[in-house]
Amino acid sequence: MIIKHQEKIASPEIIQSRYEDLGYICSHSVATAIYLACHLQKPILIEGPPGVGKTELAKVTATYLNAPLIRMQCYEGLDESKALYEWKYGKQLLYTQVLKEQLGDVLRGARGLDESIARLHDFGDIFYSQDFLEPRPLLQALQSEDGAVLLIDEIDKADQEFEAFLLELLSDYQVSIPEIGTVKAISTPIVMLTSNNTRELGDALKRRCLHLYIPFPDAALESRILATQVEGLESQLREQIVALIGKLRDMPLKKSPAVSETIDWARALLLLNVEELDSHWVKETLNLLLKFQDDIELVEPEIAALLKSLR
Amino acid sequence: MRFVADFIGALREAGLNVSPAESLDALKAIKLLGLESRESSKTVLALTLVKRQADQVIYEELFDLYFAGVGKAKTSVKESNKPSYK
Repeated sequence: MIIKHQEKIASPEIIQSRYEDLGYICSHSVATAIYLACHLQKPILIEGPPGVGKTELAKVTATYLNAPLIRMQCYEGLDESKALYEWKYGKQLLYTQVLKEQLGDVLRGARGLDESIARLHDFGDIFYSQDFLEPRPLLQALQSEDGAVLLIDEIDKADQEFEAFLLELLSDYQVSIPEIGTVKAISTPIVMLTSNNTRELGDALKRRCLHLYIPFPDAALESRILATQVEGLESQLREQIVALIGKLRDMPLKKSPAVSETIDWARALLLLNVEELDSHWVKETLNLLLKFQDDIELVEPEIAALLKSLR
Repeated sequence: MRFVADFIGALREAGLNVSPAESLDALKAIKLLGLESRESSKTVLALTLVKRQADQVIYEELFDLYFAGVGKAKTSVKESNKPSYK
């Protein structure tokens, strides 16, 4: 990708501080990953628990580099025709109609079958050509003139076959379309893949990518995230929220509260005009943090003790 | 650079499958960002060399050993820590 402002990616520190200006607080390793992805032109595979800002990272990178974000959500059964390209059947049908009408003109005066076929060949075959190609996200990313940020979201949800299909794109930034040939990237896109680890990805895919693991943020980082994301939140309440979330993550829950849930919760508490965490409000709003009834039942009796331990 | 190559050798001995292409990536990355900052080197090498979250623990241990004192670390990795990884 041609990055117009090289100074933007001059060092990981610059990336870290500029992302902060855009409202994305990240650790040094996240900034380093973006830096290396830009300079080495390698895809990044981002893993980590849901809700730590993996998808958000791709969005903020696109904004920062002034590049279009092309997003492809993966799911079971995703195939080439949805991910790469499709033929415009309707237009192809119309083309055959037009061809049929023109056929008389083309073949007029031809003697014998051989000459007719030769003339047909000369007529040129555009049935399978760029004109009838409907680009899907992967092809769009390769054809984007000024480069793009390509987000392949939740790659672990796609089948292994699809993973194998991606290998050519990830290592050489090109894809093969049988009827046309190899399509190379006009400008190398920045590729980010995210995975929630529902299955182990293949070694071949991992070898082609930088591997970034984003864990739950530590208390200081999470507090800074809350400060930028939730305006008007008093620092005392903020520290209480972060501390309580930290305690919850230490408990054996089915699904630990993620950063996105911390933010939702903080916003809700702000709307409810809560000034200090107490048992009543925590109990009332617990369903914003915990998405399984089992988890809620596990935490509810502990609320008083948890709050006490914060003081 | 020799130093990084040695470290990659130690990772391989500890059971991480580091491919030649990945080693090359690590060297390129180190060339860009240097080895001066310990924290930065740790991040850079992890991004390029450690592809499975399960390997992270071994990696961190080895890194700390290696970057604490080069000569000393090498022998201690080989003698005391190697068997436990196998």
